[in-house]
Amino acid sequence: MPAKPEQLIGSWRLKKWILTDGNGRVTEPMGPNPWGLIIYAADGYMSAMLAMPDRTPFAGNDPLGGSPEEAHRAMSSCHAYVGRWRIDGESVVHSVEMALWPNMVGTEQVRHYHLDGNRVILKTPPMTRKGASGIAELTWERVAG
Amino acid sequence: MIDLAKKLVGTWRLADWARVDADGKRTPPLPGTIGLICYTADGFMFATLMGPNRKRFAGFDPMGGSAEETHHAMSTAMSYCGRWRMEGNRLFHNVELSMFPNWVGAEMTRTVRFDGDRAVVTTLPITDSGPPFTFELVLKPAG
Repeated sequence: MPAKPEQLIGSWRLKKWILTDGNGRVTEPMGPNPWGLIIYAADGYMSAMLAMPDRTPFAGNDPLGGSPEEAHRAMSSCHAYVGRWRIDGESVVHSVEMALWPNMVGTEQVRHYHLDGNRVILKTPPMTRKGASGIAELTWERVAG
Repeated sequence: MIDLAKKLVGTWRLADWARVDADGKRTPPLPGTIGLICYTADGFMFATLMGPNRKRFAGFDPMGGSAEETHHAMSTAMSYCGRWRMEGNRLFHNVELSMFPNWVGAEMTRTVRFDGDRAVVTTLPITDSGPPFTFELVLKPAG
């Protein structure tokens, strides 16, 4: 039975992110302790942001004024997009309006969800993240209000 | 005062924004910028702004772009999320994640006023690059 929107509305912290390739090899694209927050707002908007811990600050204070090296390091350790969300059967669909990665804008990201107590596991179609390709499983824990 | 926070809950779209100098001179920082900012009832927020005409990467790995691709993408977008709260007309963003590493853990202070169905969010004066100025964001309900 499809989930009710109320079961996803709220904020969720990333606990684990694994990617399994066609040969069953498992990698962690952002290491064993990734940071992440998904916000499913009651009005139908959402945000997903994932990052490696311990990223290096820029030398300057201008977020848009990093050197090519700083920008490359920052973007190779962070993933962010926002848009609308809806439940479609056993999947939650993220309709991406804006994304740090330009290619994602305008796409629909379909994630199979599995709710288990205060956790939800989102499973992706095959994708490439930080050089590894396969099916990703992201485990999120609901943030207590 | 509780009403101000209640009015802010929901998702907003950037309708207009300007850099405002101390003498009142207004400059649009980057025409064509779009933005979504959301404040949830349970205290979380996200903000994303994006310039126009951003270039797609040649490859399919968002974290595997070339130096040139990532520099362009990072110079044309701003994204962060975390918690928010209000005290009077002051709005605080407690940043938990940001594409800009320097903002992680930072508390950002804004002032808020409402003008009809618009919310006007203004930064504190920014002084670290010469004469002080503020950024003013005019937000409309995202619908």
